[in-house]
Amino acid sequence: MNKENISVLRTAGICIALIVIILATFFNAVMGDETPKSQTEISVILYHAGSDGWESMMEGMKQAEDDFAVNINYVILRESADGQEQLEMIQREIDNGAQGVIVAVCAYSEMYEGLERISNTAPVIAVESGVGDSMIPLFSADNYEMGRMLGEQILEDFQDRENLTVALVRENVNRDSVEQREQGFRDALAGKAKIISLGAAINGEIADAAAALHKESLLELTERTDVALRDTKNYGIGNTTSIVAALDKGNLEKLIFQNEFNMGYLAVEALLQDISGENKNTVKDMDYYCVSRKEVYETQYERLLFPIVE
Amino acid sequence: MKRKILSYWSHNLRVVIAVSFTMITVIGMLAVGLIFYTTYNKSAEKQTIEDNIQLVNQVELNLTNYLRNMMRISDSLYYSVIKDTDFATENIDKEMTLLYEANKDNLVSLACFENDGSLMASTPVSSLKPHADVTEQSWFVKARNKPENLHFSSSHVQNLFVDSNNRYYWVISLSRGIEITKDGSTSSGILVVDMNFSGIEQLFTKVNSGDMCYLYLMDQSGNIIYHPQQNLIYSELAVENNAVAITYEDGTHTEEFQGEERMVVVKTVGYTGWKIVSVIPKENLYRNRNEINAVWMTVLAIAILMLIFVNQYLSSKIAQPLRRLEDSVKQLELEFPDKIYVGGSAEIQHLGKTIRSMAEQMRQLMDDVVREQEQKRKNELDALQSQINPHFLYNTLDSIVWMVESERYEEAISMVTALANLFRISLSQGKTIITIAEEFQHAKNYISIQKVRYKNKFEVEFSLDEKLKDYLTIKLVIQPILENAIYYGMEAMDGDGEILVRGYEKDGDIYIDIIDNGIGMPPEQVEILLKEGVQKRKRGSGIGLINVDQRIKLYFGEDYGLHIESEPDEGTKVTIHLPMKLEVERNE
Repeated sequence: MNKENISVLRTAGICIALIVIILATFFNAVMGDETPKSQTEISVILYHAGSDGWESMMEGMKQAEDDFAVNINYVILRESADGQEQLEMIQREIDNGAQGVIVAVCAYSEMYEGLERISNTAPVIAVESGVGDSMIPLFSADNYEMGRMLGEQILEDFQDRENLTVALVRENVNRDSVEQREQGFRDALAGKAKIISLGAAINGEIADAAAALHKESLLELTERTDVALRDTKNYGIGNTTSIVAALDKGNLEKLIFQNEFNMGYLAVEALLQDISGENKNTVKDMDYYCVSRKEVYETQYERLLFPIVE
Repeated sequence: MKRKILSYWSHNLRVVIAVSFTMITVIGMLAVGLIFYTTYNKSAEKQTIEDNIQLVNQVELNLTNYLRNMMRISDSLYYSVIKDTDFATENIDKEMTLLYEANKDNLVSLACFENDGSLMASTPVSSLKPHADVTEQSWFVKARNKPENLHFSSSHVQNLFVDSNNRYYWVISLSRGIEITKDGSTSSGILVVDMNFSGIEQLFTKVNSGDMCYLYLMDQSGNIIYHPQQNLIYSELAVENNAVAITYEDGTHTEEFQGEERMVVVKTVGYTGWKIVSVIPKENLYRNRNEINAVWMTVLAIAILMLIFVNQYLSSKIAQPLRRLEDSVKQLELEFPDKIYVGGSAEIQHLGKTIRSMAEQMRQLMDDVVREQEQKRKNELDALQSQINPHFLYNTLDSIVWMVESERYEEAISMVTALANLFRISLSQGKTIITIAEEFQHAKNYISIQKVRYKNKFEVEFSLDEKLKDYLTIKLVIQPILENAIYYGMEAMDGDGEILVRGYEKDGDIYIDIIDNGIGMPPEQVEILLKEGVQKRKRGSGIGLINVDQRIKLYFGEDYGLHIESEPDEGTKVTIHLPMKLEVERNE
């Protein structure tokens, strides 16, 4: 075999080797692209807020589910569930493969340490109601300001009334959001109105207005038929279809609500970013609004209060 | 070093062929690939847009059918029911309910109002919300202002009727002005058909399931009726370019929105003035470009590698025989012609055979030339040696001495003069070619010396055609023949010898005859006289007839030379045959 033939054979060998490498790279790239991306599994664990209490927020989450590669498992606790039960539920979801958790914290003082511990193993984001001064990110409107706005709206509507008395529905005060709203509410009315309990009003003490700081108590308030409350005007925070219907029917004077659709959508987006390590979110303030019965069907509010449900 | 490598590359046939072929094919493939790639992209873009236009047309058709169906419901209710009813005595609840039930998948409610907003009939709900003011509804206002038209509202929440289940519906209201008969008199009213928004949503959801493009719907004012991200837009988490898109005419447009280039196809829905807008982000048009690029680049790379191999193989196949042939030719001086390489393609084989044949001829010619040159030198040497033949010179000088001693000074002077002339012409300044006249003079000088030596035992007569004097001959052609004639023809004779030397022209050639009347020779002896290696010289100057004959042939060709005729006891005739030449090879 002469030099020329050796040279040809060497070239053939090099060419074949390069072709094999190119084909291997190509098929690897093509097959790699065809491998379906695994969906991120997350869980949303919410306290009970009535039959339609989370409708708007879950609609936002579903929109995020459509937009991002995420599979969401929704868990709504029973009405009597406490913080411990919620923690156990969160842990169970993580144990079952949830890569992150969105939680509406039902009892922040009970869950503070437990959530801190869990957040070290998987990303946790709180919605609507958080965990006090914890580092767990919270997606919610400023609850103190919403409470303050509620009080201010009552003062505005009863500005000519002397000795203004407001009945406050005090329930679920172990929720961080409710506590902050109450603080804001009391600060707004401080020195300008007398705050009594709803029970006192029912028992005969005259209340010009009644206020509820969260969805469940607000819906309950709008459905009350107590004679003692016949002339009492209702105010509250939180929007559900039933509450909006109550507003529309005139059972509620004014409603303070936050953009729960955005809250749900952005919380999922943020959690996915946390899981992928792109970003570490902290508190995210949602917009909040005050709407009266006359304004319900104005375009701006109509779009927020009545999300289009597929 | 670099220059050497470049020089090697530019002069190495195999490399030149391989590189040239590869470059040409690679450039060709790149050009073809580029054309294919560009054409593919354009074609893909065109196809995508055409598909999108078809999609938009299909959606427009479906939407138009949907809206026509709603209009038919409105027409049926109005022309078949309301127009035939006197509301003072009759109601239309049953007919409305039937119509609603038949179309309840697409309907939310049917309602008929008087111009002041009071409800005359409705289904499936029957009571208005206490504070509901119909007259402020936009659909109501439009229908009242233009009762002759059908009016489609934008999407909104139906907010007129009491719903015990607290449900709310997004609807599109189709309203029209109607005439209501009551107690025989007519008044104006408004008929509204609330279409379930989900019906329209479904039309678009189906076509928005892909991720190549999305479609949205807006009213004639640019308000979004349907959008796949409607809630996000309403919540201000997303935006759409509808404010600009409403200004577009039907057709395809290009726009840049939020830093993204997009193709937009717009189609107006008949009667409503709504616009269906299809948005294709431009990057989606080329989504498969990377994959196509990968395929193209892979194919190209493989093809190039294969071409490199094939080109090297082919160039090797072409260049290898040529290189071997080149090596053979390089060794031609050392090797034998039969070692010239013959192989490769037919053309190269032919070239090899031709070179081998040429080499053989060259070698033959070279051998001939060498042989001829050797022969020439030998003959010339023989001829020159003859000039200093010791025996001849001794006898001549002895004769001169004898003449001087006998005081025959005149004869001695004559002989010395003849001898001097003899040597002068012999030398001829080193020339090989002399004139025939000079050759004759040389022969005469020789004879005059020999005649003294042989005491005039023979007579010699010279005759030369005057016109031949200046023609050329090689020197020393007559003298050796005369010498032979004297030694072999005259010495043995009893009587006086006669020799005739005559030069003449015949048939364009020169002939010089040397004729003696000596003892002659038998034919068999004549026959071998001019054969090399057969005749052995016994006496004389050493220049034999063969020498003369060969020298003539070497200089003038095989057609010339000597011719001998002889008869025993009769004599011998030697004829020198020469060409008639005046100039040629005079200086050889």
